[in-house]
Amino acid sequence: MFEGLFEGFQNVLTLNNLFACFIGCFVGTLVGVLPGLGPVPTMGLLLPFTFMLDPTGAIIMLAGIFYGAMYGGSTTSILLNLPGEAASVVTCLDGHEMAKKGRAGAALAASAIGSWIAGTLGLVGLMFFAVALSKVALLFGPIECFAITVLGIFLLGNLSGNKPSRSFLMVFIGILFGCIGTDKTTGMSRFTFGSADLIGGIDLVPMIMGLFGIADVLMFLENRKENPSLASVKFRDLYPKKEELKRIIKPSLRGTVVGFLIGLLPGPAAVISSFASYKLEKKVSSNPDAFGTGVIEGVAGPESANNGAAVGSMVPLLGLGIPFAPATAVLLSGFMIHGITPGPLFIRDNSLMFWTIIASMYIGNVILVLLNLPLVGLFASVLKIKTRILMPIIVLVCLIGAYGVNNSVFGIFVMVFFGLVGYLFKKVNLDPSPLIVGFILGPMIEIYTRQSLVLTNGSFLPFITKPISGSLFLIALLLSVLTIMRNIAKKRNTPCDKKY
Amino acid sequence: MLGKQKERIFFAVIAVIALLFMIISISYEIGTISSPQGGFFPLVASTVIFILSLYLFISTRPTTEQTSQTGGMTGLRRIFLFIIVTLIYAVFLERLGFLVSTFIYMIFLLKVMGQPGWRFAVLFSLISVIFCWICFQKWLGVPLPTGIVSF
Repeated sequence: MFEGLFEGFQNVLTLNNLFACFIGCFVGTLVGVLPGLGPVPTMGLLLPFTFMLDPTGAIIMLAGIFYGAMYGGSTTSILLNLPGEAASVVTCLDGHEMAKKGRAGAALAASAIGSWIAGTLGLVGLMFFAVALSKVALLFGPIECFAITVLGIFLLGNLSGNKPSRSFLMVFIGILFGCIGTDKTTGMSRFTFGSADLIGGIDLVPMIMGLFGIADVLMFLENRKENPSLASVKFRDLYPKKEELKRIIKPSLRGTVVGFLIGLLPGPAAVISSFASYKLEKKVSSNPDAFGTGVIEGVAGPESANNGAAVGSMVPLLGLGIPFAPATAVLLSGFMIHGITPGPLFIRDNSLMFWTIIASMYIGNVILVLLNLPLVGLFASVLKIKTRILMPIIVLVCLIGAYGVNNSVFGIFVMVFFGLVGYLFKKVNLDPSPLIVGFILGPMIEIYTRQSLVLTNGSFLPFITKPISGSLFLIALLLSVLTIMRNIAKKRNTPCDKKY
Repeated sequence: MLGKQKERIFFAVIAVIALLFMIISISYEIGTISSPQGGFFPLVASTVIFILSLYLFISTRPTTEQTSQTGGMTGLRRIFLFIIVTLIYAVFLERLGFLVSTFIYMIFLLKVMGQPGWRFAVLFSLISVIFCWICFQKWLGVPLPTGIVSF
């Protein structure tokens, strides 16, 4: 394991990979700062430009954006009481209170140090968990692969944090979009409606750009609501005092463990973990009533938790090839467009790449601390850019990306179509992230289904009797029962006085 | 419009589209359970979508709550205008070339987003288009269409 890590460090310490890592961290911090433009749309927007990089560099950059956004999200929470990322909502509670007391610098430092601790220690967990998981997954045949993808879909029911039925609907819409084009097994054209451009299927890049980038633009166009302007903040005291520094360490360690473990599970892990960590800190504190008035533990704990969750969510992605979070779904598409399939065989067959990504994350964490502490003023000033200026820039980047995938204007039409679809989804409170996951997993599920049914001669019995697939289906069944029971309990606890 | 009513209409539309996809899937070769063919998987997926959207249509009850943050007709008109102009831009992109068509399109974008005055819009469009050309075409090697401007 350590040999692999050493080789990874050797590989990442090349000019190209270091540059990719730096750009990823820089852009990630930038989008973390900007409210509204989260890591998922940004990773989607930058997907076509990763074609210029080699696969390793591309993944390093995309991963950098992912965990970089978790660092940057706290800046606006602390300075403006405006979370740049959903995961940084809880940081507002004490972070902004600290800022009001003139301790903005200390709060920002607590956030950066906590994030660094979680990012670095979380990686140790990622190394062990992902490698162990991939070794088990090597025993998988088509039936087991089918079972794990079915389990993945069941787990993804919780992905958006909305009702499971809505998430399932989005997953299956994504699967159906994945069916468009030539069937790889039989060569049959499906749902192409006579269009030659659809024979190869729908390209992921214009789809993501439409669903996230253009849909956001359409939402802005509806109301043209500008972000609040930046208040002037003095950075007289950037570094925390010795006593404050001591108070950062323990909450950061607790936040790391809480965040990493929640990150392993499906759902909006970063958001849940930050709230869980805040609650934990309040519980273990000798003065819980002080929380909400500007306590440094209330910043360090949640910020380290959301970074720990970001690293934890990489375990199922790298070990199983199943994304449990929207950002890892886009990261998975980054792997796919470069011809790499993460999952059971990834760590064995692409061990150098795996360890290079891990090593890049260690280096990325150092880069992020160096970027976030001294350049925090610069990042915060990005908020001064008016949304009406930012939106045309986003459209321009989307257009170039959508056109650049195949050097065809068809990509722009696809992007506009999905922009409209994404806008409608937003209007009816549907999160498009599970759709992306369904679109990516769909073709895999189809192949596994067919192979499994041919192998079993159409019998479903081996799906249950084989130990691994049987256990996976049992977990899926238990989860379904749990979800139903939870929903029934929720309905029982809901007061019935709201009659319309 | 009343709260949740939009959602119900949306789920009903999805159910109808899923039904259409089910019908198209049936027209493909389905195969047997021991040897599924090209139409099998889309049929399963569209059937699940149909059932789920029908379930969501029934379970989403209309309420008297007013829906939040609607931009009204002006907002919808802006969205419609944006889509139409973007499609026109896509049609003319290869004929006029990236520089000319994107310059005009960027001015439109800034105006539709609410940027007051023309001087800034023209100058910003010019700078951003030239910057993108140099950055993507020259440095990153993205082959953007040259159209009527060839150099």
